[in-house]
Amino acid sequence: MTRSHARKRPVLLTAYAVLFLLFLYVPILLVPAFSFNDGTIVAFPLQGFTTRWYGELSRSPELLAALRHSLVVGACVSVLATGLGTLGAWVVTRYPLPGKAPVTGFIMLPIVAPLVVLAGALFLLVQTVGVGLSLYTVGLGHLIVCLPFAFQVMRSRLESFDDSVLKASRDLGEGRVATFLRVVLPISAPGIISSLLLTFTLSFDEFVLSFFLSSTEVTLPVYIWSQLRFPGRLPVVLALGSLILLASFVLVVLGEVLRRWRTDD
Amino acid sequence: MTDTRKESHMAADPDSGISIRGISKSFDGTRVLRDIDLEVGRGEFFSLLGPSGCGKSTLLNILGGLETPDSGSIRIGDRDVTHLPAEKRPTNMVFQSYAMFPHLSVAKNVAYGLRRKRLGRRERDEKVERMLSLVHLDGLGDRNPSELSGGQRQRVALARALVMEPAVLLLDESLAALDRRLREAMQIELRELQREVGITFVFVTHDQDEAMSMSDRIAVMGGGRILQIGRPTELYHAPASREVAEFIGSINLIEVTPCAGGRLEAPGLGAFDCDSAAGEGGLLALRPECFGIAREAPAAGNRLEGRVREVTFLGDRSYLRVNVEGLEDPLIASCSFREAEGLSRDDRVWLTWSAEDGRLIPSDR
Repeated sequence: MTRSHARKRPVLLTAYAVLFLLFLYVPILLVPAFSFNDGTIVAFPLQGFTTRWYGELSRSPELLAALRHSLVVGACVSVLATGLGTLGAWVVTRYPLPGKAPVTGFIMLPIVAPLVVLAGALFLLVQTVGVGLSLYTVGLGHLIVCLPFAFQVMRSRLESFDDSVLKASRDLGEGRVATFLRVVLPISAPGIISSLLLTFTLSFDEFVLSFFLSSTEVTLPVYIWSQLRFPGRLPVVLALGSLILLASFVLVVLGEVLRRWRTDD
Repeated sequence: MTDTRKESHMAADPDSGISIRGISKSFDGTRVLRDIDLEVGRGEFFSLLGPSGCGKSTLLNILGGLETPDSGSIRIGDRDVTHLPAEKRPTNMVFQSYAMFPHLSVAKNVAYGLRRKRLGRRERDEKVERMLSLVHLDGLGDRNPSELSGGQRQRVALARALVMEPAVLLLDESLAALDRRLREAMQIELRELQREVGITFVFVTHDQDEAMSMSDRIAVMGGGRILQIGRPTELYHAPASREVAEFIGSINLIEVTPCAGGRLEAPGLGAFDCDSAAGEGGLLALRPECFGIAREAPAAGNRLEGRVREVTFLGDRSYLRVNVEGLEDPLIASCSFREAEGLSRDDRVWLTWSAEDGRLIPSDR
């Protein structure tokens, strides 16, 4: 009885798990697979192994420029969103404010509003003000979307820590600035890092806002979209995609190792 | 350990007593402290005792500079510290929640405040080491606070404050979170530690046993005021008011009026001798252990006749609740097991007491 029971269940479960993982990872793994494919048509069967698409990467100045734009915008937006989000979360978690609930609900609004509507509205706004489209307007759009996430991450981190450690720090001779540097910052560091990673990722692969708000300097997703018209360029894009995958993988592993190392300490 | 003592005395002001004058404080229009005056002697173990909401923690926070009073002044030694912020006061606090820095090891928690003292690394490490051994945490310096038990965290909090060599150590309900046995052990240890380091301790608690067992003197607080200040024995045997009498230990209160011969009369119950009576009426306060139990009517002396309502056996003592006709509440008497032996419900008994044991306190009605 117990034996057949023990045998049957894992079979179903294993099959389910395998299907689940295939569904999740096969589309992603196709990217590196085709990036090494010796042929311009992205279709099976694979034509043979090559690294030439990677070589061509360095000879695609427009693509590299788009990558640089995305990295710069992502870095600026994540730092700004996390900084502003932290300040907002600090106020909301530490001070009694009239109308706190509706205000915090309002902060979350950009998350639920349809991106296209937001993008259209911002486009019109920028046109009306007359500042002209640029990477700054793209960054502004990203900031609006990233801020609620940063705020939420920091709020849950700051809510979980006890005010008495702030008093203890002052009692032990440290003023406000030193207390912030020696207590608040290290305790909220994990939240700050997650917020930075989350908002950077959001900005890095954001398409709709970037499409509406960019001019000649485009970000990577917009550039890739524009290249889809030229099938011959696709393998180069896949090569870049594989490199980005690899970088994300290294980052995630590194983050996890760091996290464990800290808790072991 | 003699080292620690010497150092703390050197660091302390020549006179590290505390003088509190006219401190008041309100939160959102509610008066939490009303015109508090208090003197605490140097090296004294002083407790602020009272129910929650009586203002004792606020007073402690004001002493530590974590709250600012609306009016009044505070001196520690010969220094006016009223307007000094927490980080500049010669006081350190042991918080109720211990307030450990979760991201620092035990040793780094203890060393936290030493950064400002500009010590060499070796000197600092030695100090931390010595403090940890003073609170019996040798060898645990590398642990994270989350790996320690409540009692151990309590000791880290103590070490972290004591290493600063404050003139005054403030303790906010510091033992409240511990279980009973550990709390009792810590009470003794805390008292010994205080003698060893010779620092003035101001201890806030709502637990009268805790205050009684550790303190040199206690200020009983209620409704933002100090009701009475005194040594534990004074508070117990000579409470100044009904509130204090009822807050500390259990007590029997009988309404009395003065009558002929300096005696006190309770309507329908008879007249009693009382040494502390001075021609006024009020409440005759009798502690449960003042009573003797007689099974026959005694010939003379203070006595009340009643019927046993309940006998409670508590091992070292027995408690008797006696219904007395004319009194609303039963009287509580504590006696040895032998005295209560054989008594059961509805037995007739006489409660007796001597004139020096009863105490007259003003009636608050």
